Amino acid sequence: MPVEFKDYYKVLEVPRDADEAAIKKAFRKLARLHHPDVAKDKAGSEEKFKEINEAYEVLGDPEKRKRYDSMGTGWEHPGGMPQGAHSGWQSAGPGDGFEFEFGGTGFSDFFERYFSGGYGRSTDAGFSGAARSTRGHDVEGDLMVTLPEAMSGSVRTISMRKWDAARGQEVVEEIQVRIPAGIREGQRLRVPGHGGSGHRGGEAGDLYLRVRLAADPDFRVRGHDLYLDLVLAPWDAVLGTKSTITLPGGGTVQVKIPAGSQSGDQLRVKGYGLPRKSQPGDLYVVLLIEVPTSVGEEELGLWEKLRQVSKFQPGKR
Amino acid sequence: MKAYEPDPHDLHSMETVIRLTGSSRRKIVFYCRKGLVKPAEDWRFDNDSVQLLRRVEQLRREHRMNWAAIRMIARLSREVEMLREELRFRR
Repeated sequence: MPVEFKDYYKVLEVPRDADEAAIKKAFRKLARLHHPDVAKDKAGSEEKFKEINEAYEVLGDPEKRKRYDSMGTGWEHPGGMPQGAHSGWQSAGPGDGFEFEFGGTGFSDFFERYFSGGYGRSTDAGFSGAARSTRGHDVEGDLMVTLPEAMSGSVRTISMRKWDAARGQEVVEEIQVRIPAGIREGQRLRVPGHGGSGHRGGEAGDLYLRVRLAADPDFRVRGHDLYLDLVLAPWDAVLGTKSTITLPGGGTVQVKIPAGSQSGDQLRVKGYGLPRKSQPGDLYVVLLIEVPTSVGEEELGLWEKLRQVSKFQPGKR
Repeated sequence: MKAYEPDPHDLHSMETVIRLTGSSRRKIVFYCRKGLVKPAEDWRFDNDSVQLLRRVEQLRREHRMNWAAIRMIARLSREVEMLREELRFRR
């Protein structure tokens, strides 16, 4: 089953020799533009957002990027598999004649085949060798979940294309899976009975969907906690201020920045992280102070005056 | 179309884990004593533990690995996963 090559450089609109910082910058710019929270065309933007995320998943990881770059040249030769690629559909086990591919997971077939690595569609070996009935293989696939989806939950349609050698035909199954609010990176959702078929009347294996949180241009996630970098002007850090933060999935929260805040300080906003049965995670606002790189004449005079009158000695707090 | 509402906090009884993993009660108890998996409560196991036990069975049956090798692979896999998570957080 051929898969379409994905030009991730084109998706992120960067040249092939772009450095890590340029790739990160391009990702943030495009991800903000197509973020499902802000775009008018929700369905179209979500697809685009996931495509951008997939490209960043590969190009933003030096090891995956190296592997991807080495594939490029071999791709143009039909029939020739690129370096580092494994061929054909994933088999769920030696000689069991069962293969599968996913749709609706947020990842393209190209990504699933070459970059899911040890996690993607890994499967177990099943229970083999017995003449008695045996349970089918478990199947595992990655599921890309955006931060707004993780905050509020969502329903996803997952399709699985299987090659059933016993029947000699391709089978497509579609199921709807509810993603619960508060889902975390790496968690597995078990869908019973949607793995490989059992043998000799054995029950079918299970489908495990492993959650991969899509990178967000603004928020980082650790467990149930969210982290947001808030860039401040030096005078706001000195005098204190208030800032309104737009939360993933909608809603805002106002944060008071205390006078004398330092770069790197973290302000904890309790209960504004990912939802959780016991108690929700927290939002951490990480303060970063940015100084102006060019100043007008009047401003320059004020900074000069400040230098003369201030008793502040950096590094001697 | 069939709809599912899987709970990521699903817990499975010992009997279910034996059925899902093809392992035996004795082995599962051994893995618990050695700290490879930890029952969430009252000998009930989460999805991650079930998946890990299936992999352990695969390593044991298909690759003929002994306990020392399985323990080392499990430890390294856990470390890799933690490092990947940290990398994703910092990216």
